[in-house]
Amino acid sequence: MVFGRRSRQTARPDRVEDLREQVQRARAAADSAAAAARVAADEAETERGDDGASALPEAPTGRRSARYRVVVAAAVVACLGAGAVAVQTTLDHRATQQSVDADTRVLAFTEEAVARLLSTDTDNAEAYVERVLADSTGDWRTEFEQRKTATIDTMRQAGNRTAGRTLAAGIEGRENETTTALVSATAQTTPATADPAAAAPEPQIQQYQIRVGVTMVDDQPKLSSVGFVQ
Amino acid sequence: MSTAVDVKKEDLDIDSDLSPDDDATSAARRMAAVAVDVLPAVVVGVAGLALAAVSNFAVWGIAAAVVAIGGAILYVGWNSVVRRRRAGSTAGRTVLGSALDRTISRAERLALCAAPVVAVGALVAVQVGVQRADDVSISDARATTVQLASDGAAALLSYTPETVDEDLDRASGLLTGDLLNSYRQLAGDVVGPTAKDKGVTMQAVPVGASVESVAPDTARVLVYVNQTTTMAETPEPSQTQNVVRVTLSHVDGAWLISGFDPLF
Repeated sequence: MVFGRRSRQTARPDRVEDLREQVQRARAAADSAAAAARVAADEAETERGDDGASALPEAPTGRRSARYRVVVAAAVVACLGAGAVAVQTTLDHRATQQSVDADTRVLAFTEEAVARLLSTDTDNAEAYVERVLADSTGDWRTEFEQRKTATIDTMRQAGNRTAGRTLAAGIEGRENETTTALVSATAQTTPATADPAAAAPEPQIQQYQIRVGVTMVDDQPKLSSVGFVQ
Repeated sequence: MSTAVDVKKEDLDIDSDLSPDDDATSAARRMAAVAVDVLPAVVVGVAGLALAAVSNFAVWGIAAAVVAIGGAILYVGWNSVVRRRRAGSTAGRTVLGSALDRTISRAERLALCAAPVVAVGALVAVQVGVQRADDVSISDARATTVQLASDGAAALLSYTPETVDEDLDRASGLLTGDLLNSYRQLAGDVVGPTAKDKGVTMQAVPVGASVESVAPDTARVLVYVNQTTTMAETPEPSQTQNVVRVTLSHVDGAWLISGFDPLF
């Protein structure tokens, strides 16, 4: 302070002009700074307006919209999760339905195939063998093919006709590609009569309890094993 | 003070959103806005349709689908026509802040999230509660009824002269409906007296069982039975093979035999 006072005293005559100049320069700088600030503020305002966020007057909006974003994300995740469960359940249900349909198909085929197997004709032994072979696959086909000649001979010698009929069939189980079915069937035997005028012979009915294995070959059911239920 | 900081962050976010590529960003925003407008309605509508399909187009399923799809269409229509006319923008643009108006209520914003979740949730609930429950009960029924039919056939066809009354009484515990009455009558009037008078011993051994048909509450099982009959007069036991069609019904949570018909 002492030094200032002293210097003011000494400097006063020629420094007054300088001081005035400095003050003016400072004022001009302040003015231009204020103007720049005003422009900047305007610009900021228009930008916000364009974007529509209008965040300035409603400061808590940021936090609220962040919270809403979390809610939306949770909803999306929940929808995707539930959608995944829905798809999985649909696939499971379809698989169950397909296995029910497959069982129905196997049973329908089994009923027909067993009836064909029990329907022999002394006059058309070869056709019978061909029919049975067409229904067969795997071990059963091999087995039947080996007995083919013997079967034809026996059938010709028997001199009769049988009419096979399936009474009932059910699914016993399924292992890998093979479904096992139990079949109850009858074969009604009619001796072939040489003389049509003769009295109709008494038909005989034989019961069969059969267990068959059915395997799909090229999406067609075939008998892969045939045996009696003991 | 904190308000000022928030404002600055917000401004910075907007800057960084806009600066890389204005066109791309605004296109993405527009798409997001359309997604907000359309997706919840589409999800609700599809869930309604799926619900009808799951119910096998039962009345309640179709009703649910009509409500869901109708509601979705009404909302989309109202949102894109009425609201836009009144407020100047759709819900999507408002939610994403691409419109100036903040005319969307808190309830509506939450509903836009909740409605799809509720719709898909309802679909899954019905699928698990109805579809899967049916599937499971059918596969359970398959296993249970085969065992029960085999055991039941053995019990109904096995007795000795000394214990015939108890044997048949025990077996009748497996029966229900008309069969129970006719079996009791047959056991009391014919089978019981005959077994005692002639010293009949019957022994039935199930040798196979197969499912003819099965549903959650009814099943038909074929049981193959080897029967041995011994009578006091004839020393040689006679063997027969029999097939019985056993019908089972699911009564009060338990499977009982309601039909017992020998095939031969």
